[in-house]
Amino acid sequence: MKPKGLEMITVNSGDSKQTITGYWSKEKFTMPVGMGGSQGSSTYAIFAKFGVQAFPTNYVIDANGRVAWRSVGFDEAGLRAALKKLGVQ
Amino acid sequence: MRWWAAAALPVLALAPPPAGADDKADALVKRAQEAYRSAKSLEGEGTVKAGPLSLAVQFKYLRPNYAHIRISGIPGGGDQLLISDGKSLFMVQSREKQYQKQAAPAEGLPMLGSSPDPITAFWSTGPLAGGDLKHAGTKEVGGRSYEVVEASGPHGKRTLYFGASGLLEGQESGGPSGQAIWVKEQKLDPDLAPSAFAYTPPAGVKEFDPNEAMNRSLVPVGRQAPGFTLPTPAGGQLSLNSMLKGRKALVLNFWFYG
Repeated sequence: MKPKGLEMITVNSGDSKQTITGYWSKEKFTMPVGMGGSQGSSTYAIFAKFGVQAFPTNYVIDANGRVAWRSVGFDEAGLRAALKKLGVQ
Repeated sequence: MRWWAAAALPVLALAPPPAGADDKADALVKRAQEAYRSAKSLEGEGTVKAGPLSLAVQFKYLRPNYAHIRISGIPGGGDQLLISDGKSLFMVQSREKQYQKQAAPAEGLPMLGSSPDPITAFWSTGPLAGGDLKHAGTKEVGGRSYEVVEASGPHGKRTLYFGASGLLEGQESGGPSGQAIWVKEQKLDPDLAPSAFAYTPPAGVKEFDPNEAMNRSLVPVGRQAPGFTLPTPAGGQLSLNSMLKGRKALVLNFWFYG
């Protein structure tokens, strides 16, 4: 249940199309997935650009495209607080 | 190893009691041990040398659990403080301008091993020195006369120096991992009140946040997020900019199934 004004997207590292789509249908996920690919592929640079060294890593990006919050691991309270600051409840 | 542990005092594991003890050596060790054990407070300053490392240590203690230790001379600069105000135990790194805090133990200090040195002797309930003890006469070091005891055990040989007051003032071990701990200035039962251990981290010294340490490699808050366009499993394209349009916020999650 996505609050109004919020978008959620994910970037996958290393899994095949089949693995991703299988997992998505099993979990009934609908959010978009970008494929970052594996080390050596042209798309893999995304992880370095975002400094991702461990999974999951989460960012909150504001309406102007700036980083509002980021965290390694899953910090639900921190994420909710960051979204609330941006007017998303 | 915790971030602050690098300059913790070297530790020697205890050896079992010796067979065929040396009475003079035993008496020297026992006398010092009882002096530290029965003291209510202790203060002093000394040096710890281990290889190229040379640290200065200042400390004051008050039972049951008050402590203030300053270690300086740490490579890279800055001091380390270990302070117990009776409620909290602060570990402060002045160069990094950060501190860690945990509940102080009801008694004693955590992280102490069983090295034969005054700091350990004051807090530890174990024997001051273990292994095979042998009196090795008297020796002048830096203009002072010491009773010398050689302690040898499974962890090698150590030389202990007992001063005129009977307290343990020096401890040396040879070999490539050799170290020397000297505490020439020490006072048993100085007049210390718990208020002498009060501590408030100075302005600008922040509590160490392990989460923030993990986050250090990430794009800083306030910085423009790098744009990207990636293929999707269905054969489409996913771009950050187009997903942001008309939104107040976007959650970007990096994951893998494996």
